[in-house]
Amino acid sequence: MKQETTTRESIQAPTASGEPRRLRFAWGPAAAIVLLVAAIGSIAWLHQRSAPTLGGPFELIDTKSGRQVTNRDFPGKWLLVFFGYTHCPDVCPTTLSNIAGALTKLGPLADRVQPLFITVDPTRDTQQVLADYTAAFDNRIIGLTGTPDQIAAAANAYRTYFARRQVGDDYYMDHSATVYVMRPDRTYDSSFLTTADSSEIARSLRALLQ
Amino acid sequence: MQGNEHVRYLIAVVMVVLGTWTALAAQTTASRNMAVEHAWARASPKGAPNGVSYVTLVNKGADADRLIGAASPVAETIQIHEEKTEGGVSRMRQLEAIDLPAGSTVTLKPSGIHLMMKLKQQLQEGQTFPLTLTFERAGVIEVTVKIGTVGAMDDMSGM
Repeated sequence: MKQETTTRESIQAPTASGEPRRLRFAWGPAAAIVLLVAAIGSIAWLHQRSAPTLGGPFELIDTKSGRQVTNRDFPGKWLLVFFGYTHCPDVCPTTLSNIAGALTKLGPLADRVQPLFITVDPTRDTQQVLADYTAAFDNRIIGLTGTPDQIAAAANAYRTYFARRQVGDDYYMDHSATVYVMRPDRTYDSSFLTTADSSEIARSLRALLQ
Repeated sequence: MQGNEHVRYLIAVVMVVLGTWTALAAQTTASRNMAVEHAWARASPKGAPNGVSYVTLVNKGADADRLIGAASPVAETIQIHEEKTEGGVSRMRQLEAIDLPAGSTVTLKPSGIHLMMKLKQQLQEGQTFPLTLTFERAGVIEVTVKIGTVGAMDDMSGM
């Protein structure tokens, strides 16, 4: 029994066998590569594990249905949570379009993903305005609005920064350019920048969903 | 005698054709020192008050120039905006002008510099609109802007 185990180990993981004499010359570089991959893997894993806790309770209005929703809604789904506003002509359409593209690329897997676009400009982004806006990209993306306090609470839960900036006679919103990926149990999984293209997003989501 | 008249007639026709062609060529932006290429916009979602368009500016001249203004019948105002993502925060600021050193090419594109349009009408995918750009030296150049999808990333396909 012991013999058998040792033999198997010496084939699969020579570094763990404790019998260096059994290692042939070719195992040296292979073992080094295995160690290197394991080291990189564990660093990456630790890095992800030590990421700050993000997300938390929010109470907002689903602009598609008009319902009040919390972070406990959309059961069983992975959430993509990001912040923006409809007067944003460049970065928000880019993000929404990349997420819409990723949903298309995911095919049926996209049923388990719920993108939530939370406005940081509730004064101008009323229910109708936001619902029309998100629907122009993909009907599956839900726009969330609320009172300024509700928005601030949601942004706080995601440690998202936003601030009003006056430009000429109009204002724009500075806002965090991060999309948060939340697990179905509503714990934080990972995040990506709004500059990620649809293929990158689809690839990382597929890895989580499969 | 008659043959001569034919030749004169032919020469006149050739000259008119050449003249027209030259005049047209002179009008196209390519023959100027400043070329405006790949003018495209994103369709605007229903109700969205702001639109965006992008162009590539090529200064073929020996002198520096600047883009100082833009206008279009579809927009009340057009401003030059720069979107910058720093420290994970997306910020927008207005630029007074775009500097175009001699021989330079500046490409306006998503997550960079864009022309922010306060829209008078919704921009529909597949349609076009005229855009007038004003340069300090090259003067006024009008181009036709192609409207792509709401999330178009370039002037070609849209995704």
